[in-house]
Amino acid sequence: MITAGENQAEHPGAFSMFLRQNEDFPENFSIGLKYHPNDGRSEIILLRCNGKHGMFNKTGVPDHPHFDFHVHRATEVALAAGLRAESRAEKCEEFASLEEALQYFVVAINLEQKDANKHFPKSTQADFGFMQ
Amino acid sequence: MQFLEELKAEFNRRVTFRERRPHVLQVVAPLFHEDGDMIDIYLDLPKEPEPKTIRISDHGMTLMRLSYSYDIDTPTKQRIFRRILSENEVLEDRGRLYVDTEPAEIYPAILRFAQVIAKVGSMQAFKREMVQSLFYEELGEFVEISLSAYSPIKSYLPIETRDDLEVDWKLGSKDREVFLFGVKDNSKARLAALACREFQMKQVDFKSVIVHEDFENGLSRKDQTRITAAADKQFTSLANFRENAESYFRREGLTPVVQ
Repeated sequence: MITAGENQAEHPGAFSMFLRQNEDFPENFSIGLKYHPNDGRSEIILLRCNGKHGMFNKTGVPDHPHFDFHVHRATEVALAAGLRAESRAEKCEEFASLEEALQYFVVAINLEQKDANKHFPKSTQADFGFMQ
Repeated sequence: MQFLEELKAEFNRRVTFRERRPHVLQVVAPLFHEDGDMIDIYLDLPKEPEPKTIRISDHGMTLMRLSYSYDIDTPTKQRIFRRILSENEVLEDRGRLYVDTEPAEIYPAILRFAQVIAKVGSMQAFKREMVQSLFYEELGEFVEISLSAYSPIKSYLPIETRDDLEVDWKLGSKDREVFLFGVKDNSKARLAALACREFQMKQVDFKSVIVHEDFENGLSRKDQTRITAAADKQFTSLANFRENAESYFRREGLTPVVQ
């Protein structure tokens, strides 16, 4: 992200990550990647890995991805239609918890392995100490 | 529970309830955000079969959803948010919006609650002008109340024949005058810089103070340079000004008038 003292015009743009989880309904979470352009355009969400939040959409489609673990990806079609870039959602069977979604996410955004290990260590396996 | 059957009838049967947790029902009703997502509304039911009050809640979902694209991270945005809630008698507890209602009133309460959620959820659509206009309101409030001891005069004309060179507030007395400008965008920055330069050329005896809404991100590089060259002192944000105004004026030798 742009730090104090930097002018936005000199910065090539930046990515940020967000992670949210509802305290009352932990299965309702979202891990996402945002892109922040430096040319005055709005930021867009490129990828969002979500838990089950069980919302219906306007068409009332009963098997809408929102009832399962799912992934939103930004598409040109959505942008061109004036929708949220990442409005399209697909069911995803590669994660079934926030922790698993985090590991899916770091692979999907192509984060370097050493950074992934440092900042997002896998918590699904116990560390017995003697594995070093 | 009888009131749930009555609620279904009031919705003309276009509502169902899903148990999300024990004693927490999700209301699945045709109430939507602008983008087509259904509004999250839950009923928190007490254990007794015919409760006297029911809590209608969003369980934090509204602010969580809003946070994807908009943060309520400034005093101005907080004020707008609180105003929406208070005008509609909706309460908030640790990010969860809710109202408590009697079973007999649950149908209109749900509709009203849904409207408030939709308003909060649409805060990002509030025009930038509306949020920015609160900057001048808040600056004015601070100057006229917290700095009243420095006898602020609003919309001051140092050169009477030049009504195009208006100062937002003059503070101090004849021997020590401060001309204060609030700046929220490039256009105002240029006006303030021009005015300061004109006063300097006319040898008006003053010190100029600029209070920015957001110096780093609100002005182009060129306008940052222009205003920095013209002004004597700048505060990069209203928060910064609030914190340091008094000590600055003391150092500049302005004497507060004891009232």
